Amino acid sequence: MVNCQPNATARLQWPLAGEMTVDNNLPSRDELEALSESGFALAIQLLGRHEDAADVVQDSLRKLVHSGRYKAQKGSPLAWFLKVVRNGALDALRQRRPNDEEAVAELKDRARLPDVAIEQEELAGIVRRQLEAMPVDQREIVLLRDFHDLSYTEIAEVLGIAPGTVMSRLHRARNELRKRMKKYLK
Amino acid sequence: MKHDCQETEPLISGYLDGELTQSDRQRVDLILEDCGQCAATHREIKKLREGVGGIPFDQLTEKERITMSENATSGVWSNLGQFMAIAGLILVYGVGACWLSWELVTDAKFAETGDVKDQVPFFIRFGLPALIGGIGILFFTVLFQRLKVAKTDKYTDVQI
Repeated sequence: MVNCQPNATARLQWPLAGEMTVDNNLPSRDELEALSESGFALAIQLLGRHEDAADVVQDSLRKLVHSGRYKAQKGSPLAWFLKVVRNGALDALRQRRPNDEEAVAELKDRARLPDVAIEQEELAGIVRRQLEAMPVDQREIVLLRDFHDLSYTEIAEVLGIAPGTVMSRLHRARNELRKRMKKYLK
Repeated sequence: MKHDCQETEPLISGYLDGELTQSDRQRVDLILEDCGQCAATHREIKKLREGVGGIPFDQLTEKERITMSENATSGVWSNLGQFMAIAGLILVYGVGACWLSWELVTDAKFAETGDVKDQVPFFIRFGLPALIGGIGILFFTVLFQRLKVAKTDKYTDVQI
């Protein structure tokens, strides 16, 4: 387990637009590695299981390379890739059998830890547990903004929604998190 | 400043995200100076944002990251290899087999020389082209079926 600093995966290792290999059909190795890191962060946040998240990212990288869209797409490459990862993760979630939900069960158990144990942990750990107990659609929008540091336009692209609805959706999700975190925020 | 605290909450979210227009931003600045409840909401959302940004999650190991990018690009070469193999097969089989069949059926060498030694036996003259044609038809039928299934089967990824 590594403690990621805010937005570390999304921004610090992501090459600047000017550094990208525009003339090549394929993304460079550095670009692929930066993408895989950001994609994995989102996949593990949605799936909770390392192997599943790694599989989704591997498939997404293949799709990215084989589609030829990397060079052709107009928006942010990171947002486009996260959209592919998100779709893959949601597919994986749908395919999980109810009795094979080790990760989900694990998340639920963690969400029910006694208050005494929770109080000893740091804010980020508590936020994580509360986020994991929230519905996926609320969890992902909060993470895309506050962890991956995407703009509202990029979030709209990843989620496939109108940019004008991002602020209200994000607010609803944050409100839900605030309710769950009320006693820790005082 | 006169305002509805509940209606202001989404604006405070947008304010912290730096996604407001200049006029909305100035409005929120004024509200935060005047209203204790909105200022508390601002503090809470700010703290939440920091909490989410610092969440610890598993990361890929160095080895996994390298393997993933290698696998992603190596797939391109294997696809190219498959494409070239199929294209070559179609070319050799299509052109080569047609040419051979034509030579056999017309018994071209015997027609040219008229020598009985050059005459191809009847069963080879018609049997071999029929065999080549049959195998070719079977190969392409199976190939197209497989391609169709790969593109349309919605149960391919379902784990049993």
